[in-house]
Amino acid sequence: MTVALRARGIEKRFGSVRAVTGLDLEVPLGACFGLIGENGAGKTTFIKMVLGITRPNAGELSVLGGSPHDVTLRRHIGYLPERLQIPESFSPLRFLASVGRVKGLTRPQIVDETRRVLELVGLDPVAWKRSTGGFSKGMRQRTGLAAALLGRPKLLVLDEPTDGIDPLGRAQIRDLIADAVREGTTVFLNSHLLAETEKICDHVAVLSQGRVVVRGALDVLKRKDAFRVRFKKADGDVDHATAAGFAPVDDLGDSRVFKLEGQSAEALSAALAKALGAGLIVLEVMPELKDLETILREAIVPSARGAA
Amino acid sequence: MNPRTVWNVAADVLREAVFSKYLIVLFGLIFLGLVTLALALDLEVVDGMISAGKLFGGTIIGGQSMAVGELLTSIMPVIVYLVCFLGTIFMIIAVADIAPRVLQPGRVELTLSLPIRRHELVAGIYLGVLIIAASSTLFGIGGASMVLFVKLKMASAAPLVGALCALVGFLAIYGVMLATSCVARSPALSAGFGFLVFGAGLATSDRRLVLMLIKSGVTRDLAALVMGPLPRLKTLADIGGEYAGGQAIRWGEAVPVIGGSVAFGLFFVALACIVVTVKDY
Ligand SMILES: Nc1ncnc2c1ncn2[C@@H]1O[C@H](COP(=O)(O)OP(=O)(O)O)[C@@H](O)[C@H]1O
Ligand SMILES: [Mg+2]
Repeated sequence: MTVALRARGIEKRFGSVRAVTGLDLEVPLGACFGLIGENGAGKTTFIKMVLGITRPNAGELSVLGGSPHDVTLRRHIGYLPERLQIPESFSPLRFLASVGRVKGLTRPQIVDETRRVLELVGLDPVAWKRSTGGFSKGMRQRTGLAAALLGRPKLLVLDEPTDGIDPLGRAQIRDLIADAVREGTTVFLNSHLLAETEKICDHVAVLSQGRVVVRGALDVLKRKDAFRVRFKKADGDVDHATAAGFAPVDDLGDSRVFKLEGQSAEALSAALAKALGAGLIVLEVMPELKDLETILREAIVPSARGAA
Repeated sequence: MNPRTVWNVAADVLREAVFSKYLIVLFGLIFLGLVTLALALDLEVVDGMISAGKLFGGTIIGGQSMAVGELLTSIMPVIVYLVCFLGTIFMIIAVADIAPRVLQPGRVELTLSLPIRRHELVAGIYLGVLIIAASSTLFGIGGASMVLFVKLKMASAAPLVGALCALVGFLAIYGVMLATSCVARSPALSAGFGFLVFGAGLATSDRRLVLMLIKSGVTRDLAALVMGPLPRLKTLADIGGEYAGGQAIRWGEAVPVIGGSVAFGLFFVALACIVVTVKDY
């Protein structure tokens, strides 16, 4: 099994609302996969289908090599719902114990695991025994995240994990998700926060009106059809660079940034050789990158037009 | 169905009730009810004879003095009815919001993502609520017995009998309440249907009388059909009252009523399981 999650032609309607239409998706084992899209795009609906909470009208889903309705597989899945409600009278310790028991952990395991995950999510130990009814949104979210991490699941499904958490806390949660990925956990998360997702995930799919409009490894998606090269300023540098095929982009004082269209490494090497031959000095070469927002904008605008 | 999982769900229902101080309030209310009963029931007992008896100021025993044994036949059935009917009403109100809370959005999603089958969740709630109902009733009858013991200077089984009748009826009533909660997560609706079954169950006990009031025809056949499977709650209390009053239990009638009540409850629990299983959350 090399795929943690596979979806084929998933459809979900709520009356006349088509929440998800013909969704195809594959999450490689060990990936940190981000499903992004604006509110109402169908992200939560898809996650609920992955976990067998909602049933698709059509399509096939395979989770960790089995069906979403296979109860034994759920032991290996950790889930943070979108708007988690923890029984108000329960303390984090009690809540986690309750989840741990159902997940089949033994009593000593529950004690150890509860400690580990609560420390991991950075919940202040004085709050561990307090009832969650008085918790802030962030504290509740951390408790929910701890429950998802309990028992080291193979697949972690997080619906808007940083929702309601302050910027410092967000960085902390990004770190702990990264740690989980390093330990071999596959992470599938949902977010409408692009910058967040960009920082955490290595794979993304963009959902728009229930359909995947872009998908792939983030470093491939981000690559633009161009390279940027920074040369040291010199007499006639612009002429030499232009003659080699570069176009000037920016003046940084003692250096200048140029751009070369295209993605071919051969073309880049040839242009660089020509520029170096003319005596220019290279300070930096990098692929030109788009941010996720640009990817999203490019992806959604044409497809939305197509749908209209 | 994995009994361990069912028990885990039931135990969490109990834990939530305990930690939300909800049970404490519940037990406090029962206690208050008992104190009221103790103060309202005014009996004068001299040498095993009761010379006067008043309940809420109204004379229930007056004139000639009465042997305690004689009192049993007159007052014990009343106590059975009181404990049984008030207990049932009390339980319906007390547990109405438990299932809607467990099934509430944001919470049920997490539960359903855990290794729990949906029918195990439903069965667990049913079990948990019945344990709450049984323990609060036991607490109640313990207190009621004490009141009678102090007032009469003799022990009586009447409160226990009344509580058992209430519990048997509640098996059926809560089945309907649970099924209602699974369809629509509303405590008010759940309690409403609980009262409906309770009322209908009382009326069904005198079904011949009720049917006689309805003109013959489709309406009457329909009424007979509806009343057929309903648990005959008043019949149960009648039998309990007779027993507490010193008569023998009419097992011939009691067994079908008890069996019917259990079957009725389980039928609706099964219905609730089906509803939850086919539903999207
Ligand atoms: N239970 C439901 N009943 C009716 N419509 C729903 C239900 N759940 C989701 N929807 C609709 O499906 C669409 C997708 O919702 P959702 O998956 O929650 O989006 P997202 O998580 O991407 O914000 C929305 O239009 C929403 O209104
Ligand atoms: Mg959502």
